[in-house]
Amino acid sequence: MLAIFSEVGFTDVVIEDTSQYSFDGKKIIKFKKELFAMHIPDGYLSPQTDAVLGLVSALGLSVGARKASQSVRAKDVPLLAIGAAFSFTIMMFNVPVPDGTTAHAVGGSLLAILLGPWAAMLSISIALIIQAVFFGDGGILALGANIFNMGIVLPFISYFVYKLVATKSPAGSKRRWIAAAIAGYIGITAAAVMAGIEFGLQPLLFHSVTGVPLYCPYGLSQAVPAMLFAHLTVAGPIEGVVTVLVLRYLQQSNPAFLEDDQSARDKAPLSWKRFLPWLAVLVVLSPLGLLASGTAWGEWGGEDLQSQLGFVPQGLGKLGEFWKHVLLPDYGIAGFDQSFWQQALGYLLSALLGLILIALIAWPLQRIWRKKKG
Amino acid sequence: MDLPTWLRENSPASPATGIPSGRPFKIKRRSKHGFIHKTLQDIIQFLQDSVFSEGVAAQPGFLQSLDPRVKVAALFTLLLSLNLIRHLTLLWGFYLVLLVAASFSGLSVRFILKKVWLVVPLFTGIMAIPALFNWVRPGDALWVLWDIGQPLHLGPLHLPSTLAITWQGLKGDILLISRVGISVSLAVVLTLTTRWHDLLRALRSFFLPKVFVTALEMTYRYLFVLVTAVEEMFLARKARDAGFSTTKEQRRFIASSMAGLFGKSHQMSEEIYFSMLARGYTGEIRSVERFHLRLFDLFASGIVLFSALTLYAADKVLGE
Repeated sequence: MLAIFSEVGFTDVVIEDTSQYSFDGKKIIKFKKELFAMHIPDGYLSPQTDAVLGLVSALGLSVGARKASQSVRAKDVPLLAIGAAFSFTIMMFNVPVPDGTTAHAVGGSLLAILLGPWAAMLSISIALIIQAVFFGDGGILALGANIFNMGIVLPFISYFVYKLVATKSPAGSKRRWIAAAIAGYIGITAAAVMAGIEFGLQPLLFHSVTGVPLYCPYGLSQAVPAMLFAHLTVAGPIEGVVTVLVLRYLQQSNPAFLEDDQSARDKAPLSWKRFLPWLAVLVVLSPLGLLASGTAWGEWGGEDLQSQLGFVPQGLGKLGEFWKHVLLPDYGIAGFDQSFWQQALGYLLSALLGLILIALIAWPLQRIWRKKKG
Repeated sequence: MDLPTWLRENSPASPATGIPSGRPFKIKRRSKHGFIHKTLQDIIQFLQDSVFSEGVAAQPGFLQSLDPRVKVAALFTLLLSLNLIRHLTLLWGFYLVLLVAASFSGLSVRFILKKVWLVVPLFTGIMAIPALFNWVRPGDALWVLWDIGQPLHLGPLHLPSTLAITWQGLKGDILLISRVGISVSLAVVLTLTTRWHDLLRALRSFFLPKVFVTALEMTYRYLFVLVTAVEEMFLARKARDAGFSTTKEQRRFIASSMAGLFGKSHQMSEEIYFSMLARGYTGEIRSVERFHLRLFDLFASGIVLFSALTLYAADKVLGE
């Protein structure tokens, strides 16, 4: 299983589908799809997990955005934008690996070292959003998780490690690039472990009564070691080597980039108090979101709803009856017809069909109206 | 847009490719897809994808005519619903409706099917294979493959005496693959039918901070500048490339082009900042809102919302 994890999906796999598709007879297009290191697609994580990580990432991004807009230098916006474009572009580089194939680096550690962790966080997140929305690399609901792993954990851990090892050594020193190597290696591994933990929590929390896993099927004891192994051996060294090589090149050609001027930006005054209420909300929500199982949420019966709301909407019951007798006679299964969800379904279906009917009538009418007017 | 033919062919056999080492496949791969060639292909792919997507979005059609904000909200609501439900019939039923909507918008169904289902089973499918077996994930045996006779003990590992495909594993894997594939299809259909610029603009109406959306829009614009710069670097290298170069040398080239690109980006961001200043930028961002919701958009939002809720309620009615 370790071998499969390290070979497929989580390190670097490139599949090329060279068959050509024609579209509308006009364009011949070649399709090729790649999975980058840790871009989690939708379906692997439960929406509950996505929501918790999305909240954490949103909080991180809003702190970052505030820092960017508060700082004296208004040129942060172009810097962030170009940083994001740079981040996107370096993920496109195919880095040669000794066995003759190629791999992709995330480049997050490099950005953290060059731009500082906050700017790196915003840049990587923007790149991740563009990848997810326009290129299907990583899920859309899972964006929060991906931003958390690669946009927050990766640059902050890398930056912390880099600062810890490099201390106050001069920009051109050997110590700097050794620090960069360790930062790249540890940063990406930490991000992979976070992804492994997110995967591993899924079968623990979300499975059906019969034991069918609803999302990622591997538990913590399988997902974390697999991700760790793949990244300690393949993706980690690649990230480390790329970080070092670029840093050494800059040391020789343009050491000004490595001076510590960006640390001044990071010390821009920021009131943490503003975010305290949000943090409190998160602290309260996190265990709820993580512990709530997939079946518990929204599983209130009619009686539960009655006790919670104090009443069951009358219309629901009537519509439920209507549907039961008119269109869905099979619904009269014993012990099944009083369910809240059944009534809700009847209500929702009727609303949906109503809307579609109105749209179907209104659309041609509108067309005729417009034609007459035109 | 494609590479000229003389660039697509490889340099004449280098010393390394002539060595018979018993790994013909690997060597063939190396000679066929060097890192330069691969990066160039990726770049062309990126450009083609974006041009193609703009082309589809510019056609008249059902989904194209919807307000981008409605589409963003629809994408989010429907994805949420799809990821909460667990019945395959509902998932695939939704998929059918999606395909119908896509074909009404001038998208080829064959194209969507191929784009998603040639890829998802290969990645998610292979990743999910081990979960089928009871040694990885215990469950009720559906098909016993191998009976050793007695439980196996390998150090700390204790394995049951039979290796079997479990019913739970099979069902879970089918659910996972269906969910991943259908989620990707939904995203593909909605993003292909929306112009990227409009999609980014639409994000402004949602929870994202202004600085962030502005940076996002600028990123989209300058992405093409940087990608074109990389294409030029690699094309120049490809044009000068002859014979065999070591992996070490290749990596140094990658590093120097990354560093070069960083320098270029940095300089560009300064220049952009000064040109923004020259045009009166004070740090405050103003935008021209040019979307307006029509009645049709409201109806569509209603239908999307009720579909998502209906799917969820139907899933609850169907039970475990």
